[in-house]
Formats: sequence, structure tokens, C-alpha cells
Amino acid sequence: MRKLLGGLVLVGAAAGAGFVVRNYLQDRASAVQGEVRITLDGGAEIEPDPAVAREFVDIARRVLEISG
Amino acid sequence: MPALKARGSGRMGMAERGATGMGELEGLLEGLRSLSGEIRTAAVLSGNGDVRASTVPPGVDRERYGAMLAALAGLARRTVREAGGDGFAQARIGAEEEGYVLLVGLSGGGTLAATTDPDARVGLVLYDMRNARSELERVMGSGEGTAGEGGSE
Repeated sequence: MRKLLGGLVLVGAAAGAGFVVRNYLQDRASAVQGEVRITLDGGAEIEPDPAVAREFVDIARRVLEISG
Repeated sequence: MPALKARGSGRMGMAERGATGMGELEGLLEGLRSLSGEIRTAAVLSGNGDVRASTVPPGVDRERYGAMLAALAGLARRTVREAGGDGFAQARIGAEEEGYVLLVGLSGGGTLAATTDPDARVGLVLYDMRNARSELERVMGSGEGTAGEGGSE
């Protein structure tokens, strides 16, 4: 019985740690340090998904660094 | 070059302000910078991503600057296509404390690009860029903007 409880505690701790790590990685992936807004020819405005937005911001940052 | 008038009070045409002795496109870009003082640098890209003219100061790696702007314009076009659109009218990319990169789509797939400080009035800058668009398109369409290209790249 004691062994079973110990095993359950270990499994619970491992699952909790996995959950924390997954949330941390998701937050990092979705964080965009900037803003991106694109206006289409028709006037509609779109915001790209976080991965693309991050790409925009990374390139823009390089442009701004280069141009001083 | 004639003195620039205050915003909204009898603006001159961009070509009128364009400096002589340099490519017409460069003249238009310098005119845009004079009009919209918050623009740090400006550039015109052709449909295939080549920099046709720019106002970057000496010492700046123009090739790299142009390549990065072309990458941004290409990414904007791809994003618009994926969203079901044909082209983009404008794009505004803010990189927090570094500033903004602003893009305005030109006919024929060209792009007018500008960089600003982070505290710039981006809406006004985009307004001035959109106003400059027709004259830039005219010059690019006529092929007259190539006169200063050698000096700009």
C-alpha cells in the first residue's frame, strides 16, 4: 500500500512538472514583443498569427538596427 | 528647394519638392522626409525586391537594409495572400523601443518603406506616405527614377 501511494505521488509530481513546462513553452512561443498590423487593399485589417508576427518584428528590429 | 509649408496648409506636390541633382525617386523620398519629420529613413522597392532609391545615411549597409526591407515586404504579401487578399495597402510593424517599420504597397508590386522612432505619430507618417504613393508610382512607371540609382545603392 505504501509503495502504491509513493508511486502515485511520483506520477502526480511528474505530471505536474510536465504541465508547468508545457505552459512555459507555450507562453514563450506566443509572446510577441511588438505589434503588427496589415491593412489590405480593401481596407480590412489583419493581424498575423503569433509565429508570423514574431518573424515580422524580428526582421523589423534588424532593419531599425541597421538604419541606426 | 522651396521652403516646406506647415502640415495641411497648401502642401506642395512631392515632385515640386523633389531635389534636383539626384534621382527623382531620391528627391521624392527626401521631400517625404522633409514633410514628415518623424521619418528616420525611407526607401522604395521595386516589385522584385530591389531597392530603387533610399535615404539611408552614409555608413549604413544599404544592401543589407534593402534585403531586410524586401524580406518584410515579401512576408507582408505572403500573409495577405494567405488571408485571401490580393495586396496590402499598408503595414505597420512596431518593434517596441526600437521604433516602427512602415510599408505602403505601390502598384506593380513595389513598396514604399520608412522607419521611425518609437514615439512617432505613425498614423500621420502613414498618411504622408500614402499621399506620396501616386507620384512615386508615376516616376517608377515612367522609368525616370533610375537616374540616381547608381548613387543610391
